[in-house]
Amino acid sequence: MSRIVAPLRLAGLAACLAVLAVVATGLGSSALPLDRVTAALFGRGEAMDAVIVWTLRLPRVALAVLAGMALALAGALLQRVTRNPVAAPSILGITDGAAVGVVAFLWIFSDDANALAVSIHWQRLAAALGALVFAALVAVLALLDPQGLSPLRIILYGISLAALAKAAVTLMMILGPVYRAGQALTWLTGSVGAAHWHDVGTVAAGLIVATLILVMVGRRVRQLVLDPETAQATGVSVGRAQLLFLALTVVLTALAVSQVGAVGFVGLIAPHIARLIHGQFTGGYLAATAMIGGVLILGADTLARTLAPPVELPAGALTALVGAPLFLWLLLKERRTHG
Amino acid sequence: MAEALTRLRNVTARYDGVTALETVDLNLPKGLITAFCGPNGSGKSTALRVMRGLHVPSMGTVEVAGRPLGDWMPRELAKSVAMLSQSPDAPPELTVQDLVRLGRFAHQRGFRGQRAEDRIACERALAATEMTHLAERPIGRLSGGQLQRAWIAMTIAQDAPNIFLDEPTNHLDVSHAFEVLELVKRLNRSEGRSFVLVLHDLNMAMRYADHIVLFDEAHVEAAGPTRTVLTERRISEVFGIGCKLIDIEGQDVPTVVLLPGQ
Repeated sequence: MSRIVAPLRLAGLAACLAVLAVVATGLGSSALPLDRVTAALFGRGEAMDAVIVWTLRLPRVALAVLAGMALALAGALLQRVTRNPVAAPSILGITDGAAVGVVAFLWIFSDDANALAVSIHWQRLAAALGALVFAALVAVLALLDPQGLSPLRIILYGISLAALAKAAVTLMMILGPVYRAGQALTWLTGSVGAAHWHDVGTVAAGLIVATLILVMVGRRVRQLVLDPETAQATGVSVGRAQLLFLALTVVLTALAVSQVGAVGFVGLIAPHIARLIHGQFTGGYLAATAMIGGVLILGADTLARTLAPPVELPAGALTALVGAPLFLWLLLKERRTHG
Repeated sequence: MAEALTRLRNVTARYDGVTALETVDLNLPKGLITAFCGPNGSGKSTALRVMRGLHVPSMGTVEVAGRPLGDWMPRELAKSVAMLSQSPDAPPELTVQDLVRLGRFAHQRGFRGQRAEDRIACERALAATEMTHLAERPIGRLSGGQLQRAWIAMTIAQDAPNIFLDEPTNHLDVSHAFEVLELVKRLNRSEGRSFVLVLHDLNMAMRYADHIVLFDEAHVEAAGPTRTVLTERRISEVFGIGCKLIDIEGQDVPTVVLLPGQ
């Protein structure tokens, strides 16, 4: 029975995501009706529509979807590796590392008039660099660990470095001028903002590589629901699998946050929603999680830019606004079924 | 002596500096039901974990089926030796059926789904443990005995010729404990699978084991056929408690009666 239903559910999710993407592409300061969006998408629309769709809206829509997928996958993998359903990618220190990169960038490249001396586009590179440096720091510490490589130790290093990074960000924001603080705050809350196709390409490439790896070794992800000793006895090299999935989590998180900032709750809540509507032991759980992550950030970003125009709200504020109560509801519901 | 299932040579194993096994030499025969007995902390579980490659000894060598443990690929080893540890754990919402399927990991390749042979192995494991009617139930809603049988079903589904069970009768009432050991006996006698069990109950060991390894303070006190190892004198010495073996009419093995204060 579930063998027929599961693919249908995945197809339904994909359809949801596609419809939302088309609607989101139409919405904005110059709203396009659906027929003009689809015409432009298939290359039959007017030249102006094509510019709006292909240059302005679609890259942003695609980036939101892909970043959502990356964060959601990172969350699902981390929850499996730690065997902890409330683990979120932000505990690995990657997000805070990216934040240090962004705030340092705003600090270094702001002039006396509080304006940026270089294109804001470089902010993404700064975020990626920050994420990379912190990922490398965590990796070096883990490799030097006298107790040997273990996921728990890696997470502890991540948490410690994240605390250090948070302190650095706070200090830089307080000591810096207001412009810097405001700009940094938007990033820290998470926001998709204007996007270029090559940003989309970067995240897409990362996701494709991650997907290929997961297709090859995906069965191990499921096996990790067992305690490590039992999983090992069924034939999994548990230590190696944990390290591989942690590395994937780091890369996916770094990719996503360098593009859309520290969007909260998606990595935590997308796997929970997937569990609820698809089941975490059903085939396609990771695919479902990824699509839900895409829907969440795309939905949040679309609302963020259409709720109070011309002001753009940070998408991360909306994911937290919806995500936090949803998470509380899930927690309460869980207690009722197991209590 | 029969062909060896595993061989420990001069094995010392430690946890955080505490020695759990000290220079142990052990040959386990193939095709039998072997029971590890001994007081708490005497090294039984550690020996089992070392034999399955779950704990790396600080000294000595371990062989499984004549090959050093390090030569085995993880999946290959899992196909040869299945093991159920003392307190296995999985999320409570996992169904019995899904749990049992996880036992098939070593047999599955690439991204193909469940094949017919996987399904058959799972169905047989469920039937053998009398869990078929509970296949769809989440393991969080099973009784202690049912849960233990679900885990044993997962271990059996792994289809390994050698099965290690660490205290399989834990959490089970007397009748369920006998059921599990009857199942072990059936799988041993009809399918020729070797079993190594950690057992606390000496009467269960006496009744079901062909071969006993008696552990005491990180050493092997005695190893051999059940009746030659489990003697009144040895049991008294190892457990520090008086013991009589009493023949009861109609029972083919003597009953172990422990006599505290003697």
